[in-house]
Amino acid sequence: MCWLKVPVKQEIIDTGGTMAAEVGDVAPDFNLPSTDQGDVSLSSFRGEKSVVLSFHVFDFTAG
Amino acid sequence: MTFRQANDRFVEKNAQVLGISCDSVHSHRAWSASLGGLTYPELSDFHPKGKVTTEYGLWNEERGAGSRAVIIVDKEGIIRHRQDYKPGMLPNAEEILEIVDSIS
Repeated sequence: MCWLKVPVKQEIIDTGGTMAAEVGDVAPDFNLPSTDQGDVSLSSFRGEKSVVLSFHVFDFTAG
Repeated sequence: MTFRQANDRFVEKNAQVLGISCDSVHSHRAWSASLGGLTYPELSDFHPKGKVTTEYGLWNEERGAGSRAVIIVDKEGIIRHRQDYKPGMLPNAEEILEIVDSIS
């Protein structure tokens, strides 16, 4: 019954393949705790402002 | 020029800067204080760790943290610019300002 293994493997690969957010894609929404009061969601800026997301590696480093 | 220094100019262009890493809010607050205060909100992708970072294709399993990148999202929620940075490379806020200007 080795045919059973194939769909499972494909499913994993497909999930990974849709991860990266590229130019032209709808930006994945989020709602995250912030240093300002309360959580901040990306969708709260929709129709109002453009958003610059600056991802960095660790606090207290140049990363 | 850093985002911290340039934030007023992003505000003038009706753009919101959001910093994000997988550190906790407590860490962000201590870090911000050590810099004399950040001028924009710093978001915590801490729990579940790296979920948003992973959705943006930036999770680095070996490091246990995200990679550095700047992603510009327009008012309609579409990604208009993406720049990935190698370790040691920092974004130039001046350059990002110009790109924000060109898309709005």
